[in-house]
Amino acid sequence: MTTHERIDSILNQNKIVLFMKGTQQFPMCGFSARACAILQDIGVQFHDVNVLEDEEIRSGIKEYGNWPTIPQLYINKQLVGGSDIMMEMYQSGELQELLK
Amino acid sequence: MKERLESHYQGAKIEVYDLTGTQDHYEVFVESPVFAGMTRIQQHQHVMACFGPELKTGEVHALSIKTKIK
Repeated sequence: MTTHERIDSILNQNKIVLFMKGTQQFPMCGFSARACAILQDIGVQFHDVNVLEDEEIRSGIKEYGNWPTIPQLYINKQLVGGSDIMMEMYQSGELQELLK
Repeated sequence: MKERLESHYQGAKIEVYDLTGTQDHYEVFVESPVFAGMTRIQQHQHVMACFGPELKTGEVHALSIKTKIK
């Protein structure tokens, strides 16, 4: 399986996916921690992918969605954004709408 | 940075902040009609594309983007 196919299959199996550094129980970077905190506050379950444990996914995901930084939130296979966009959408209520 | 954004987004409201004073961490704000109909991520990708080469080489290490539809 290519990296692209691996990412496809993760996104096919999970509605909400956060590619992050560390895990939702133990985030390893401030931006990832912030992204988790937002999702936890909204109260949704999400699938986390720890890119620190998978170099292929770590570089592959940047190409996949044409987005250079991690974390990255995908909802229904669509890239929504990183922690800045998540925070903006959370504050305006858009993210809650999207996750309903 | 500002000149480049101004030539890309004519008539836009643009602000550029050098966050660390080291010219590699920037925050940019762009308010342009070009963004109409784009999702947030598409707007940010649009701005990021302007700095593709510098982001690749690491000359610009971090770019925080804020966009608004004019």
